[in-house]
Amino acid sequence: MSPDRDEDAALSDGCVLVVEDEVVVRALLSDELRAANLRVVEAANADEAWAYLQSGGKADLMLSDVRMPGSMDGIELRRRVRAEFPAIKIVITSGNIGPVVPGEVDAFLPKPYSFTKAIDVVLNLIGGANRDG
Amino acid sequence: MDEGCVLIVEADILVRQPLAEYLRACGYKVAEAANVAEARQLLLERKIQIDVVLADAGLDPADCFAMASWVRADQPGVHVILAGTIPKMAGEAGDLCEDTALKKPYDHSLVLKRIKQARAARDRQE
Repeated sequence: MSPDRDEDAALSDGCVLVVEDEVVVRALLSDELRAANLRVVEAANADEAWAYLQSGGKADLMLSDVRMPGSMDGIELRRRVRAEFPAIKIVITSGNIGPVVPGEVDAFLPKPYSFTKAIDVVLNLIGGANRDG
Repeated sequence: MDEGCVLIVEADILVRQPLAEYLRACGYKVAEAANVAEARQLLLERKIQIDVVLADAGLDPADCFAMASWVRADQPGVHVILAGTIPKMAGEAGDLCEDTALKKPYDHSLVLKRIKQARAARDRQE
């Protein structure tokens, strides 16, 4: 009855892994991204995101906060994802650090950010390529 | 296609995410919480209209039952389905929610059936 993962991906403009420990922000942002025809996977912290990717879960882009509870923060997650899943675009968002070193991430989104801005950043990185493909 | 909103409270992303995608494919809006504290925050802030809460009571039964009790008192229109309930707590859970029989690992089609039953029960009350 339910489409499988591959069919879901084919019906959307790409898959975004949202890593955010503030549940209301995560839920509302994810809703907005889904409304933009993106498939969204919600992770409550870096450990969950890593578990999802290690299990074979797909993502075209990861949008991650920095400071989160758990065994690693968003910077360590970024390092691991860059090393093991280099095809995944990375957007880091934070209210506590300045822009990270160019090349370490594909975009930096300072907090607070508008959902419109976040969607623009995401679509600029993955939306066009998936729609045109 | 608007079947209502289901809040899944489940600590394991590898369980929560496939169930959430299944329910979305079935027409439901789905909110996700990784623990009871997140669920309470979503329910309290009311920025998302939630119709059914599906919570894994196995990890923290006391917190889960407290949430179910609070939902019943504060948001009586919201149905709570507890899963993973261990038998000795079934009686307590039965006083707080409509269903205590949902077992893990989840059978997605059974979860869907229970959600439909919960929604139908609410529609009858209205």
